[in-house]
Amino acid sequence: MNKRRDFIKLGVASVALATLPACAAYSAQTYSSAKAPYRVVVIGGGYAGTAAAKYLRMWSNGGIEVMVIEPRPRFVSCPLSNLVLGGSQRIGDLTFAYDILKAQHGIQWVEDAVSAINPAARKVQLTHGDLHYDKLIIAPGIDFIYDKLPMLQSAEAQQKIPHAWKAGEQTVNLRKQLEAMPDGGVFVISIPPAPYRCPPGPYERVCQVASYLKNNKPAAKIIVLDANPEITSKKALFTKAWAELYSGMIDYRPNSEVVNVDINTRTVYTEFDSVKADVLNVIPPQRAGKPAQMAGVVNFDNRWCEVDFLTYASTVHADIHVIGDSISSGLPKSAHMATSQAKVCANAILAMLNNEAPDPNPVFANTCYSFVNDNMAMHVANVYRYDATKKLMLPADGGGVSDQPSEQEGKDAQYWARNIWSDVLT
Amino acid sequence: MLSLMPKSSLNLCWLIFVSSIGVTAEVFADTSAASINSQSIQVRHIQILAASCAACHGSNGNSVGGTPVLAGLDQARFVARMLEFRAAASSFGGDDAPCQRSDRAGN
Ligand code: HEC
Repeated sequence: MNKRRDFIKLGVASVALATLPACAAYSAQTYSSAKAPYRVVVIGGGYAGTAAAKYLRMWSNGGIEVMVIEPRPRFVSCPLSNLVLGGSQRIGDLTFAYDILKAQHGIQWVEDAVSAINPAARKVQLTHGDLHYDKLIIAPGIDFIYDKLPMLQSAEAQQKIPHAWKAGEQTVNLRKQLEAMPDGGVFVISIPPAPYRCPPGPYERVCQVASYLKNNKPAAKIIVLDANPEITSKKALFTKAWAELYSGMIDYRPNSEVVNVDINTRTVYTEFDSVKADVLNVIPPQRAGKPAQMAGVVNFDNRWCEVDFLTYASTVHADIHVIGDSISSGLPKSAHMATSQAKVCANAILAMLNNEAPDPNPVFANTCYSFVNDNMAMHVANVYRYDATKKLMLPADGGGVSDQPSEQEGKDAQYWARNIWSDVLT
Repeated sequence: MLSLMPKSSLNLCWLIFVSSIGVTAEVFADTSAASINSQSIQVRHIQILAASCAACHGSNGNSVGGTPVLAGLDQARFVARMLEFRAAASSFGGDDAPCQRSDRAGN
């Protein structure tokens, strides 16, 4: 084993944790948090929150105190989690401890949930006490909207009809239901109206479920109820992959928003139709995570947070920054995007705390891979640049998608995952 | 030969041209990049851009597998490879994708 590698060792009963090589360049240092002049509190330990916390510490040479609030004890990656449904990856492969990140960067960590946020007093209230901040970063990911589908709100309902749109137990639940499904059964997936987390994700999921069924239950069928008028991402590539790899198996129905669900019979109703499923996966419509709602920074469409793209400061409260899936941006809600925004935000906060101007012209990359079976993937990649007139991040020329899925890109996708995990978790 | 290469493959590396390759190469060459305090706007800009390469090349260019390590990469090589990527891109009509895998042509 390479000497550079430090492995996470955690004896957790049911989940075998995956391991990551620790980042070699940034070795542990002693930080004097007590003397730090500023405290930044980060709500959320997903891709956006971990990246923000790490880069704040790294780029300030440990000069400011950073505190992350995250209720879940472990990080579970949404990217690659569709492969758990296909069967080529296990959830433990995508589950990581936060220990290396905390120790290497001297990040304070609070495993607790936020119960209130007081922007005027710059205070975050937790279940066990409260915290003062100089700057607050809210990176909570998504929250589901159950207004139209109240019957799916309870934990029991989600046990029977999983969303599996936050990786972890829900993913494993859906996988088990697929394993238990009879050959000749029907898998129904409902896709919410855009914008939602991970634009190509639902279509990749269809590929993964189809791949599993093709090999194990070849008489099974898949019905895709898409609330959108067409496939929202990598359309030509998915259409082709479905036709070539899973011919006759997938019935794709656009403009099919689910309006009602009978939980007991697993029947979904669209405006004109009803479909009975053996396994039913309803991905509900989405909005900014609960902490953003508590802070009062959800000011677009009652769903998302408007921010300044130079700093990610909320347009409601200047000392509250919002990054990742919760913002209104026109940008894809992806993991790489979340980390790119986190870095702009971290850099800008450090500039502002130092009374300097942030980068007036940020440029960053986004990549997103989708697997069409257990080893072939395709990508979409773009560079985004700040447009000072429109005050938006816009895609630069030169981006694009793969010509076709390939095994090489399947490997690239795995390399991408290793590198982004090590970027945010070590 | 060219037609076998996936058009628009990994196309992010070269977009660094929007800024100065030299400065970016320096950011990767010196990973102990100084404290944020008193960074020039230019350095900040490059810091942000270079940090978004981390998803594929690892933090500070310390790839943990599958992609080249950029940390400490010889600046001349860095610049030369970027120019190759750009040249490959323009041979596809300019909208293509460097960070192109050299071994892909035969795939
Ligand atoms: C989507 C993943 C991805 C992203 C994002 C990415 N690269 Fe790359 N890069 C690669 C791959 C894969 C290679 C290897 C190409 C080969 O082997 O032919 C590479 C190669 C390189 C090389 C050549 C290194 C050598 O030793 O030959 C440089 C330099 C480079 N990238 C710089 C960058 C910079 C700077 C960025 C950010 C602006 C970036 N890359 C973003 C995937 C990526």
